[in-house]
Amino acid sequence: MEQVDQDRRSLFGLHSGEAALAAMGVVAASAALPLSGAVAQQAESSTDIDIVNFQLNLEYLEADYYLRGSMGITADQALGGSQGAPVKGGRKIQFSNPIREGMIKNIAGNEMAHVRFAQAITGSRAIRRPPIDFDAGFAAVAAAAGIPNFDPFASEMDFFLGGMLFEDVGISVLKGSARKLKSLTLRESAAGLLGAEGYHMGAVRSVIYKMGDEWRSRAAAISNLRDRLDGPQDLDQPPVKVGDMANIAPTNENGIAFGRTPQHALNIAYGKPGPGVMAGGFFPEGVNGRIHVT
Amino acid sequence: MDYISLDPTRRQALRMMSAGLMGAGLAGCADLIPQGVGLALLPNPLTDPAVYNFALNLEYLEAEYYRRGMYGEGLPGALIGPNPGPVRGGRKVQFRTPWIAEMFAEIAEDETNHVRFIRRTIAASPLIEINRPAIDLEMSFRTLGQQAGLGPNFDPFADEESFILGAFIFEDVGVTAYAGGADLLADDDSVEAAAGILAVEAYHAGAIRATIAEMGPRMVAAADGISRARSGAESSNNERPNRTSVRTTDVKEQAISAGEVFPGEVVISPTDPQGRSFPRPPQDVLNIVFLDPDPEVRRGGFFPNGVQGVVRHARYPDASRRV
Repeated sequence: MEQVDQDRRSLFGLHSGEAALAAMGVVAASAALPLSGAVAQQAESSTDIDIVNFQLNLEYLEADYYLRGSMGITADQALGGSQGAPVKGGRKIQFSNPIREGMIKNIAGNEMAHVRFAQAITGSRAIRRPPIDFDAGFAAVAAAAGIPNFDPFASEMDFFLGGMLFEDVGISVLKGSARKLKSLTLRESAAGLLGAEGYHMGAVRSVIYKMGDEWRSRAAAISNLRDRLDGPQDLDQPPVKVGDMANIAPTNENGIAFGRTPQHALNIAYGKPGPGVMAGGFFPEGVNGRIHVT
Repeated sequence: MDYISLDPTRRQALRMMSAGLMGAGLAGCADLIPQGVGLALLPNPLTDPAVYNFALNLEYLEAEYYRRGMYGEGLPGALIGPNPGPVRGGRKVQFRTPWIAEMFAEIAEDETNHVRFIRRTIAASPLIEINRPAIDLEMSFRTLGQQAGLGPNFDPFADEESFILGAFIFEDVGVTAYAGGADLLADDDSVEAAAGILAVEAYHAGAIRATIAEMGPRMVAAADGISRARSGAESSNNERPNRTSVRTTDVKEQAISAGEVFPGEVVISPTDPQGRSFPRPPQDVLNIVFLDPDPEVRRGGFFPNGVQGVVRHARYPDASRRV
């Protein structure tokens, strides 16, 4: 395959493809549709809508978390209007490091955009924000993980730790959902969202790792808690030293990130393992949408 | 061709048509017929293994970079194919900071695992080129260093800081390449594995950006120069055939200091206004790794003899959309 005649390939490859599509009436039909309709068309099937709506619950949680922590504003203020039920807890961090403050603001902007985007995809079928309780959620995490007096809004490092609790999970759900999405365009968007969340956690986990054993061990406690909540499979790894290596990216033996089902994620968000859990932890009345029970 | 407007049933029909033709005997004859003819007869040469074959080039590049910087030697013989291209340049970096060395040891391991996984996944497929392409880790960085304003002799293996900047060159590109490939894949297992690799590349890229940001304004300025150089290496014209992703945009870079939403932002996650990592179609990725915006370019930069596989030059017609 060293020397393929490029002209020939273009000629045959492209033209045969076009001919096949034209024969099916696809070329004309597709050319007529404007690109601007693409976002609204992304989620065509009910399954796709359910998956994006499930994700939207997590985006609501993350948006309020990062906006409150970084600037002391609510998502309702940032997005210009009520997004749904009330959110309890959270306040602006007393920052000591402007670089880390800037990182957290960057994440806040991304999460705000994710809420808007998931709402745009699902359109009239977008779920509203469910009731969210950061106070109760983190109190339960602190108790269950064995991190006494854990207050994620106390400092930027505490805040990174609290963010890691959600966002590694969001990444694994996006990874696990990739194969379930029917719309190819939505797959491309989901990949973009997965990329953004991966960037966030790469940055956050590298800082946790950099800060040494004290923070690594707290992150390990959170990772272990997630592993206890989401069932028997080992789907979690903390940012700790393994042999001579860091472990910033949680992966399997193929260098591939873990996948979780929405139910795994709900066990973690509700703070309770096993099937049939409908509410608890960060979502005192459960999440909205068709996917809401473990 | 605007693929976004095809409904799922039609897509399915197209895929089955493609699979059916291959099943009718073309696939089995792939080794017997001249490659050009084989490609011409296949309705869709951009099979999942072909997409992974494209990604394998980038994984070879990353694995060789990190392993050489970390250990002074490249990939083991078992992972580079029977007829590998040579690797020019690269040597063990003298790390000063233990946690940074540990981070790079992890990244080297992940990239090695990606090479192994992709090779294993596609080795038996038709029209696949499994050998490591020739890789240049010396002149490529000098050229890019000049374009990025890092001086005429940029050597990423000179010290820890330089190695971090070299990593920054690759990692953002890896993420955008996987994001741009997400809708080119058909099989569910391929899709899921690619999503998992994308996530890991993003973890790496986020870690590298945060590390640079915390090292101060000099490193951020250097990284911003690299972002600009990458933008410059992409073709600015969008007139390639099938260049119709809904997300096609001239902008696929957001520098660390180029926050757009809130004052004081440090961009650890480069995104479009919807908060999504940018997707790069394979052609744009090739322009960047060849360090040349010419749509006709077939080799250069990091791959002096070009890349392996079906998707090998920047003008490859079917690489934006699965058709």
